[in-house]
Amino acid sequence: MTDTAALAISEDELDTLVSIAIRRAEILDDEGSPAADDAWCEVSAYEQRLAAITSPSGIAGGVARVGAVRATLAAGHRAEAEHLAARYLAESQLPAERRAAVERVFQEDRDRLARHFPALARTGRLAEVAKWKASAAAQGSRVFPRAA
Amino acid sequence: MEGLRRGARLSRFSQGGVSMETVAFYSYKGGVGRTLLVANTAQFLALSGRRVVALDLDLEAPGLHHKLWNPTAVTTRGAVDELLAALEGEQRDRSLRDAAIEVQLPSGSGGSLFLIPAGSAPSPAYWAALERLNHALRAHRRNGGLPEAVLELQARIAEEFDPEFLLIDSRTGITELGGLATSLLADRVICLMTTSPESVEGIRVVADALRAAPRLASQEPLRIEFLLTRVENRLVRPHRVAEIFEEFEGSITILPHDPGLANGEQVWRRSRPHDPEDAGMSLFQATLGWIAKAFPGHEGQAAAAQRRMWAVCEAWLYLTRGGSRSSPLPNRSAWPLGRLREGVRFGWAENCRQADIVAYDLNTQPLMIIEFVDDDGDPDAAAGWWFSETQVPVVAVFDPYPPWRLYSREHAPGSGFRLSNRRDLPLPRDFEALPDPTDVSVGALLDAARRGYPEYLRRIVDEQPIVSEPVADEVVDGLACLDDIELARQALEYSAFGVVGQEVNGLFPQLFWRLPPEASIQVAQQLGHCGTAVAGTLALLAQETLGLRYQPDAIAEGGAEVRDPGTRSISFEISTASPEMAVASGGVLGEYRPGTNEVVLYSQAIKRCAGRLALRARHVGSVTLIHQTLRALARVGRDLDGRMWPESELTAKAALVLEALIHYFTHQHLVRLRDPKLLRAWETLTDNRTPVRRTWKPILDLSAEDARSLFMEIRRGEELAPRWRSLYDAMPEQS
Repeated sequence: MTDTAALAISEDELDTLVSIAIRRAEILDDEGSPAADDAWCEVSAYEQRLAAITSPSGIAGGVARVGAVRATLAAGHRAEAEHLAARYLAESQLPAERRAAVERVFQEDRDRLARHFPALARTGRLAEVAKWKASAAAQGSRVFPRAA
Repeated sequence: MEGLRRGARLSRFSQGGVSMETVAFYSYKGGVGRTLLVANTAQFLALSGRRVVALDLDLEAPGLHHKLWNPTAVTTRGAVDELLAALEGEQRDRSLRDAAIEVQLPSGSGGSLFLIPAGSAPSPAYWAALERLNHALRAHRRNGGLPEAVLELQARIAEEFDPEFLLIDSRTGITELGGLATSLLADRVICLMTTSPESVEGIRVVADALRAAPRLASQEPLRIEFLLTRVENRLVRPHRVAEIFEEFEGSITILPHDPGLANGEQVWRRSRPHDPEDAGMSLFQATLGWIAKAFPGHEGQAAAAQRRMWAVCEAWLYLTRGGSRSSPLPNRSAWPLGRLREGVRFGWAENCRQADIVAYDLNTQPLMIIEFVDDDGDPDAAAGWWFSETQVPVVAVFDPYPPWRLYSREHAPGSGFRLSNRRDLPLPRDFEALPDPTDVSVGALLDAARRGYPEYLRRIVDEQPIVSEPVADEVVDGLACLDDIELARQALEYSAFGVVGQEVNGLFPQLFWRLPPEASIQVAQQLGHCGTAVAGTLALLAQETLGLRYQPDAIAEGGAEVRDPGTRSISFEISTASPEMAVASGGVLGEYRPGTNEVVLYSQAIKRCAGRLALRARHVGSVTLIHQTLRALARVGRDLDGRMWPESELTAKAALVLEALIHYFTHQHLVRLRDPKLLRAWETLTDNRTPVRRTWKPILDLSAEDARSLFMEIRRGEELAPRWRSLYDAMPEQS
């Protein structure tokens, strides 16, 4: 999709698309499908488009920004989610409740990981792992293991 | 130094004050002995009093359970299941101990060793679990990935087992899990490689990547060590080893090659080295040396662990190679691997004890317990425990060096046990053939031979000195009692083994004259004459009794065979001709035929004579054999100065004197043999020969020195010295 084509999509259209995408991702999640991660990536893409054409101070803009971060985390892309969050939180017009919502999304993610990896969480190393993954991803193919 | 070590330990995985060092063993290519090294390192550390967990993360080709545990036992969970449970968030209420197997250690080791296998591999259930794990890694990335899952597993191991060491058997090649085990989990990576270019290149590239890999903020930099394995012989390709040394700047340890391991992928104790230099042992020695250096500390206990592993290795090799550690291959007498087990615990709760090796019968009942007891232990107390708490018939206790101490219930006073005279470990056949496998007295072994296990004769013979050294009377007398011709023949053959020419051992010359003559003659015919134990025996008889040299074939100093044209070989034969024919031939029981140089025994005449005189035929035959052989030797032997029997025949009177002297020498030899049955047979025969008693008496009463002197003069046909004149004149003109 080109930028021109993207701009041609209206807010209402995007709203519809994101609703459908969210429903699809949830269904795939429920079924435990490996396609769920990609579905959440699609949701993130629509939410980011919405965020791009809406004001951070508005309801739709605020929801889209929080939604973009949540969907990115749901897709398992933590480093990207952190980049998005940093960008949105830098917007001065973003209301306090939306900022809190973004923080809450990350907290929920940490809680989810802590539930899955309780022993690791007790060592206090979960945050280190996120940084390690980001660092390994930044090194790309030069790092062993290749898929870190 | 101690401060540095403590500082290093603080950098390791810390959980609630616990410090655990994680060591990953990695190889770029398979078949380098990685899994084996993990197993040996784990055992060594545990025996040294350390708490150890061994984790199999070679998920695609797991095998650590084969090295550390009984692979036939059932395991339902393992690393795959735990990783899967972590990713699916289902492990919360489950203890990791469900997936761990405690590897039994000897009593008093102080340490502990838990194995977390890959899973119930190989099985369809395991493959399904592995597939589910791969699926889970592809899906739901928000729930974390493999890095979190392996770190979770490591954290749970630290929490639940509190180990000092976590040893990881890592996947070969370039894989995600192999990378995580080495770069993320490990404090130290042991990189194994062979001398092949692909192996060396792979390790070099991976090591560079590992050095550059990111670490968790709380982790110290990764330490990497290198091992060059399967080095066949440093002398064969020294340049290649030197190149690798240079490439890794000398920081590399060499472990020698063991073909048995390379072919069989088996634990060193079960290996079958095929070369005479016994590479299995040098590999084991080098491995233990490396482990002790790579994991310093607990020096006293580590040395004890090293002694134990050595001793168990010795015992295992002895059992599996049929009684010889240096034997290149197991032989038929060895214990089948299926009837041996290592590290088996007996008893319950506090009252338990671990056998280092247990040998079982075909119904899987323990036949023999083998336990290592170090210098400070009490072997008698150890044996006492086994006999009081189990039904095992034999216990072997050993310290770092053979011989072993064997205990048995058999013939023990009361319900106790006794220390045996045996010092080697019984083999399966011993439990079958011997009522008490620890009783290897000559009597017990002879009984076994008579009951259909003739190979025990070899054991009796093999334990005797090779060259002319005294043999215990018990051994000679015991073997000489053998009546069975076949057994007697085998005893002679065994005692003749390895004998060359004059180098007879102390056993053969005695048995040759004392065993049934049929057996002795069969062996003489079978071995041939020149350069054999038979020739040596005749030479010994000629020298000791007649003072002559019998050397039909001699070995010159340079090693070449030299034939003495003057000395003819004596051959032996048993004739079944009737007594009448024997009498007609003039020999009666036997004769020496100068023309053919044969000693012939007349078996029918011997039997008839023995029956008439209430003697046993074998004894009459033996004395006849000795007597006739001495007659032959008197004829064909050389003087010490080389002189032979003169061509001219003796006068009848001289022949009679010579006959009396041979009679004298026969008696002398029988006295030397100290066989009362042969002496009795000889004296009975003598008593029934009138001329001997009546006219030969003056000669029979001579001293040994005089008899030999007279013999020499008669033999040379010389004018007799004046001192013999009266004696000579007193003899009748003819017999």
